[in-house]
Amino acid sequence: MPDQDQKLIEAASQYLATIERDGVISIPDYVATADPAIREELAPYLELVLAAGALETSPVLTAQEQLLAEQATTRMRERWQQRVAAPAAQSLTAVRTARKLSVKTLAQRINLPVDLLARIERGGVAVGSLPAKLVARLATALEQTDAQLRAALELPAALSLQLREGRHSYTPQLSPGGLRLHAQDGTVPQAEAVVSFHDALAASMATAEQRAEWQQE
Amino acid sequence: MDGARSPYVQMVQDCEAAIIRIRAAIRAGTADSPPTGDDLIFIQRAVQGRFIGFARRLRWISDQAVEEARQAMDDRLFDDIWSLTFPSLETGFGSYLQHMPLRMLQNTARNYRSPDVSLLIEHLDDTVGEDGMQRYELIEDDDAQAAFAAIGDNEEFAEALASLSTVERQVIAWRLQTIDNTAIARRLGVSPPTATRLYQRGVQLLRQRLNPTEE
Repeated sequence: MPDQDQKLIEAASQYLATIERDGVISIPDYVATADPAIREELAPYLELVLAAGALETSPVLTAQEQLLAEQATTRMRERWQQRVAAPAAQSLTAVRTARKLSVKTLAQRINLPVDLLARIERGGVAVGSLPAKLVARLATALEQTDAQLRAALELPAALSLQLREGRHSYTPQLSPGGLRLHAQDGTVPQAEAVVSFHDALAASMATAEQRAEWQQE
Repeated sequence: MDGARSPYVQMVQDCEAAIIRIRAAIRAGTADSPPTGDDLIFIQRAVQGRFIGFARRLRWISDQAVEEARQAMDDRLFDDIWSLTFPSLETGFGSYLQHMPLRMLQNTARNYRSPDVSLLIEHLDDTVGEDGMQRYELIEDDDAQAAFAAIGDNEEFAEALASLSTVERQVIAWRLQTIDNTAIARRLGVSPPTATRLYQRGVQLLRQRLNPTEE
């Protein structure tokens, strides 16, 4: 979904195109036709666009500008290297909560039953059995690459394995019919069987429409 | 004009191709390859050039604000390239180049509010002289007026005029029709200082077109 800056850029481009096509139109007249959500910001931005004008060529940099540009390039390269360096693995739950999405909201966006998504997050569904379409939808909804998303999906399974082997304290979400466990209460969590996606779908509270969609996968 | 635009169009197309390559690498999990880094730097340098060009034009913005805006621009560019949910970047990068540096400068300048953004406008709006006229009303370019008078309506002038943007051309036409700056500003829906800037830039571009060797 485009943010405010993207919307402004699009509106400003349309304004300039309108002027080139139809002749000069005043900013207030144009703004009155724009998305109400950006009108307040659009007017001063369009005035700035007119004041700045278009650049036909990139300028020849002064020595000082060249130095600053080189520093900026170094920062950009460092940022890229940081981004592509082996990222700390994040579980699907961590990725979702980082985007301030509830399980319910995410499930609605990808048309999956809430309890099934929760089970996937707990590692209760074999990652290899997940339909490619589901992985792609999750990746898009969470702004992850397919590879990042698959890594996130693998993490709960790894945690679950450690849990069974007593090597990790794990506080899962409350599952339907399950227990809410606390890391410090000494309770040994019930091991949840890892099942295929289709078995998990069959056991879920999916609507008929959801079943129809995912059973085909 | 086409000849002057070609390198720019080529640069935009090269940037769009680089964005497509970077995103393909991200999807494939190979974004750590050196060519991806080189593509990213290529795009960043293109944006930097435009950013610096705009920063020079908006010279009422302080150096500190410009530097902050430059970093904001780089952060924004990186995130926009990396965000796979911004598909128009791959096909509409020219628009991005034209607008995002300006937007970043505007956003940052607001944080420095006074004197960065409003200084020049306030000064142009100052009342000066015994007649109570505002400064922008007194701004005239004698050389340009003389050039208009000497050139008349010859073909070279018409070509130079045609090379301006529609707004710049219209403002000059209005001024030549002796429509005053305040009325022009009202027609455009901008402040009088902005109308003055449009006129002055139009005149400056005309002079450059007509006398390419002149600074």
